[in-house]
Amino acid sequence: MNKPVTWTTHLPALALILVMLGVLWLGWPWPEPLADGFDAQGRPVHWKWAPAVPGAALTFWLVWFVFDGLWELFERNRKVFNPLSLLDEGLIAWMLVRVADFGVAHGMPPAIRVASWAAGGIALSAAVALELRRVTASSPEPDARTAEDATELANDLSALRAPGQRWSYWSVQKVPHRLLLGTLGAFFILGAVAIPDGPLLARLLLLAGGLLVLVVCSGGLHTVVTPRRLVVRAGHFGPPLLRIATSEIAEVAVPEFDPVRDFGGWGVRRGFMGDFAGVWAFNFAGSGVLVRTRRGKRYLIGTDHPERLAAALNAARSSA
Amino acid sequence: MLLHINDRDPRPIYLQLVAQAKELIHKGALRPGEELPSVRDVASALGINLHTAHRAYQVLRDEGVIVLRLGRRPRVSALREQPAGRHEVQQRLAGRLNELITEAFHLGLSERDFKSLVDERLRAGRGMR
Repeated sequence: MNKPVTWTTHLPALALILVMLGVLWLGWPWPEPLADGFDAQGRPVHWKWAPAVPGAALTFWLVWFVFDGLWELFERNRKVFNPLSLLDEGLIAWMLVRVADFGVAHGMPPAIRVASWAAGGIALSAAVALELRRVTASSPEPDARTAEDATELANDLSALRAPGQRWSYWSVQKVPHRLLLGTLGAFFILGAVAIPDGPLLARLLLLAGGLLVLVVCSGGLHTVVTPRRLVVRAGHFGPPLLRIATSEIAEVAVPEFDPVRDFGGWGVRRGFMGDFAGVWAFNFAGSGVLVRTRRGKRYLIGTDHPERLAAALNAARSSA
Repeated sequence: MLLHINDRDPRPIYLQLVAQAKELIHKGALRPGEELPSVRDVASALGINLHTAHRAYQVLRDEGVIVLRLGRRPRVSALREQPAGRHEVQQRLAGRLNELITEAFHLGLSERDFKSLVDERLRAGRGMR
């Protein structure tokens, strides 16, 4: 069921505009701008920033709020991607880029153009992601794989200790909101390519960030456990992030943790306080397995099914 | 997802993999739409030939169990909404059922014992749809 369009739908885009406006405001006072035109008496006319930008934003916001309301009325039950639904965010993104262009032409640092592409990209990415989610939304079956399955897996694995048996266990951690992140990554790359006169470092950072996001979103975090080794890899094509011989594993546990509180976020991180101080985390969501090696190093490996991965690691450890 | 190979199993390796993948789907450990490891990953992790892993995936694809697309990870197909046709059932099930009935005969089971064994196995697993 689609959520009805409410006025809060447009708040993120409005917030982006206000942030952009704040950035422009911080650059004040600018060099005297060139005249945008002349009135009937031949006096120069300048664009008044303060009323013009929020005025335009408010106008767009109101117009497209009405537009989205009408669109929702007609498209509610259609599962077809509607490019018109991106118009408001597209216009806002375009406006941000134009405002930044104007600012750069009047002496603002060129980096603001990169910021405008990134901010516009975020707004448009969010719109694409929301529309795709609306189109593809279904009611998936609840995931019945629980700790009971982990016990069954452990039993299966213990039966594989007999001679002549080879086994491998694959575990995946999907990236939440990967549609949103993927479109955002695509926009970062687009921004890096489309700003030929932007600062090189900012363009390289945008490009690297975009590629990294796409690689990670393409496949999440993949963990492979065999009786001999544990390998963790990001995305389908990413290089191995971690490779440990199972004979090196001393202990495996399924901890309770908060990615933000304990590691300051997601991705490849090192814990800095509490029980997870010094732990290297490879985690893109909210659950994982803690592995301690015989040398005392600790790693947190993200997975959607921690009990199952722990069972596989324990089996590998005991057979090593 | 757990895959294993028994070197003492008389079946070819690719058929062992096919049987396991089907069983994982039946047990619910693999769900429709879920990604499977690539052919290269399976071959590398289990220490088998690339062609053997590829053959297993081809058989699964031909039987409609998985979807293989160029450049994309293999995925579990959607479950059949309609039961297979009579010809396909004959081809894939009847022969194996005959073998089981013959084995049951040689084990001295009655028809009733055989049926109750089938019922028991259905109850122990996820059963049928």
